[in-house]
Amino acid sequence: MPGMVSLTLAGFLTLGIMSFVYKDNPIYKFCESIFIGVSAGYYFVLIFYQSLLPQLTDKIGLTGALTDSALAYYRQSGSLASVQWFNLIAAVLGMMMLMRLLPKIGWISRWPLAFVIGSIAGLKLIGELQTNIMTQIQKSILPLWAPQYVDGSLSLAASIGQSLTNIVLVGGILTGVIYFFFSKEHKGVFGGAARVGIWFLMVTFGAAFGLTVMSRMSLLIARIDFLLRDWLHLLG
Amino acid sequence: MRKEIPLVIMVACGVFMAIQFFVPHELPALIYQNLNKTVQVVGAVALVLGIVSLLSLHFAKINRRQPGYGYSYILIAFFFMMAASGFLPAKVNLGSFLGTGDRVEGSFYLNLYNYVLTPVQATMFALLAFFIASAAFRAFRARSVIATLLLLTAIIVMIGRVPIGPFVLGDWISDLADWIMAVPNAAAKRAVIVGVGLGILSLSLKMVLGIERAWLGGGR
Repeated sequence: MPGMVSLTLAGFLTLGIMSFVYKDNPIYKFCESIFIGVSAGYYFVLIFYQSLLPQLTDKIGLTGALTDSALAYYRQSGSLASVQWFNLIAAVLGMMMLMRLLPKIGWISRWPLAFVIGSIAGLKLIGELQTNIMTQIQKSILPLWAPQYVDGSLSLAASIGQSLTNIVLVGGILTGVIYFFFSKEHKGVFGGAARVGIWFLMVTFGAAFGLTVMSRMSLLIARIDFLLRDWLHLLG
Repeated sequence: MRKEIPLVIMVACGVFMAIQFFVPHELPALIYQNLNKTVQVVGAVALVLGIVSLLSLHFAKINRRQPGYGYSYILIAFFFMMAASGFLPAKVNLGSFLGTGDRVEGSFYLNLYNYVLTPVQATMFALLAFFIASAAFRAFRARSVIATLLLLTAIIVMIGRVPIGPFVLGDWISDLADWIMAVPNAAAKRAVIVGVGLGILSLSLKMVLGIERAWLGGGR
């Protein structure tokens, strides 16, 4: 599908999706259906080659042959290593998951689901404590007076600047956490701290909003550039 | 038994996964490694289940001749086209228009990816620029202190991050944008991360202890 035909197809799909700016219309719905179908197909192939096949066989990567499975290994070697036994367990649990499609024995799918939920919950129990909570708290314990030395002597301006930065950082974290603490009514000093927390959160939302606008605009510029330069050759 | 056994499996897996962090022995490490792999396989099958569910939904739509069922034909056709293209043997050649088999450059699979999926996906996201513009108009009508704060931060970050900002206003604007990103933004983000972390921790604990059972669903 090289050259002009493929570019015209991409151009038509781009314009079809953009037509939604005017209003919801059949061309947009047509392109949307293509998108969903192709996406589902793409992820189906991706899951098969990147997750199912390598994880079940342990020996093959993206370009491996379909026949090189755990069972083929068994036929060749006459034995199943412990790793291969686990692969078979994974395959059986995967098959049990598909039982959800059969209403009468759909309850079987709870077993692999229990396996996944339990494993992830156990991992998160310690992992979340280590990575998100402890690390973030550790990084937030900062000196509120941070002397800065320039050429061996104390720089008052740099020290005040760094100390203010630390105070804002620690204050922002504390007030932000206070805002998310709903077990106590937001009144008095506690309410005031929660209010300051909202201000910090608004700064974050504003920054996120600004960055999102910029990234979407960049994408839009890229699509217009594709239409005018690559497809229609109107730009040099 | 239909609920008790899954509960036992979940508690056993959860307790093992939590404890293995504290056991410096190769056996728990090996089991952990393989359990992780099994979780990935089951997760991948769950995604396949989602795709099957999507297709059955659209087949049902066609059967019932629901409004817009014609689009379901297109969706299903393109799904099978894309899926089939991923499993074509390398020696298959569909001609210069469609491409070859396998999943290499110039293949039918990658042609569909490059000239159908990528442009539509990018345009879908680009389309949000228009809706964000209208949302910005509504959000940026500074009616309160916090709305003004949001407006000011967004403007400073946007102007500070494009070349024209420092060119017209000077370097201070990009320095200010960098400071906002590194200090107040980081502070609030850290507060959110700690809050989310505590939430995940408590939910995981409830799961592992078998207190939280909503995932078992209703019925038998």
